[in-house]
Amino acid sequence: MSRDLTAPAAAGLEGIEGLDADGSTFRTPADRLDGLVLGWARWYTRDLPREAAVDRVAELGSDLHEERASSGTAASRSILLRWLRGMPSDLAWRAARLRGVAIAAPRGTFPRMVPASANAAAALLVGWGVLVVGRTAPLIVGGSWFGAWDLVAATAVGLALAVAGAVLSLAPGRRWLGSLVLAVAAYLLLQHGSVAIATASTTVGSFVGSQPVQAGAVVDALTVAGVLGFAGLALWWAPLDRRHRAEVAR
Amino acid sequence: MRYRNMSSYSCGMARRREGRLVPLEVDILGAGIELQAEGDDVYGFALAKRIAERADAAALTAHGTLYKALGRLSDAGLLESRWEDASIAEEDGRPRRRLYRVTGAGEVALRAELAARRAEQAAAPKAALA
Repeated sequence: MSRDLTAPAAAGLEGIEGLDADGSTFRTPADRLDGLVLGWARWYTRDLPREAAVDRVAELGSDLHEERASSGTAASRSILLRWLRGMPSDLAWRAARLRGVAIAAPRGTFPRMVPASANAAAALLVGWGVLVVGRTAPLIVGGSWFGAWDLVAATAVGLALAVAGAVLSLAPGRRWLGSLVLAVAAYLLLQHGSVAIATASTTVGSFVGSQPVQAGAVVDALTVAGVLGFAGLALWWAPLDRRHRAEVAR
Repeated sequence: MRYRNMSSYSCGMARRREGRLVPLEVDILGAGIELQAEGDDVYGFALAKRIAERADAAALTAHGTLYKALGRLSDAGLLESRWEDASIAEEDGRPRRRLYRVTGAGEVALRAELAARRAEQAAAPKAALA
């Protein structure tokens, strides 16, 4: 297929008529419907190769414009139905493109599994943070907390960072930043959160007290694994993104 | 022929047979050849409109179905595409169109598919009588 470097793929999504970077200029019902259709297209192309994503959204933007120019106000019903009926094909196309990305990836890498694994790890970390805060907060409120206050502060900051990192990781362009934030959160929640929960829970506290060396080793190992894992994910995504920008700029 | 390498998959209710075109692909190639012969631009909406006119249907092909099929035909070499010059689109006050062209391989594939269908239709009554 021939390629034109001045095509929308090179110009970016902002160059497409009717599209604002924040999508906030769609006002009339027709504009809002077109905004929904294009928003859907941006969603299902969000983590596909940039050229394919931009070309698809641009082609759809052109189609919407042509149909409105051809059919006027009567176009809305047709556009709505064409959008809804085409959704299964959109998702199938997306899955096929993702398979293509996975097949083209270097041997030994798992590009399709990495985002899912990162999200699962982030969810586990957030869950751990919620558990720790859930155990310590009632003690603090009830005035029966006898542990160090810096543990509480570290855990609270860790949970906030974990939530922020997990949210950032959902956006393909910010995954590297989300992973970096999650690496910091992992240190705070695993290293300090485990001490906080040992202080808050009699059962965990007595177990840790009976096996202090082993418990410390497990906590250290989990902390190192968590920090290195998320830092590795940040590295995984950061260089790829730079390569991508360089390709688009060429 | 490259289109024989198109994978077997489900397209709507029709399942692809190896080396064959599904009905939507036949419609796209047929509409594209017609538009080309008339000297008109071949792009997504024009194809959807022409397909509906040919079938005397009110509904246009769904966005996802149409563009997925266009991508498949392009990957198979039956269509070529390029983005229209920005100056033309700007002059007309509209977004740029992605222009398609039915290739020689596309025309051959369409003829072969139509011939295969005619042969099947001709064989069907004989089979029923046998």
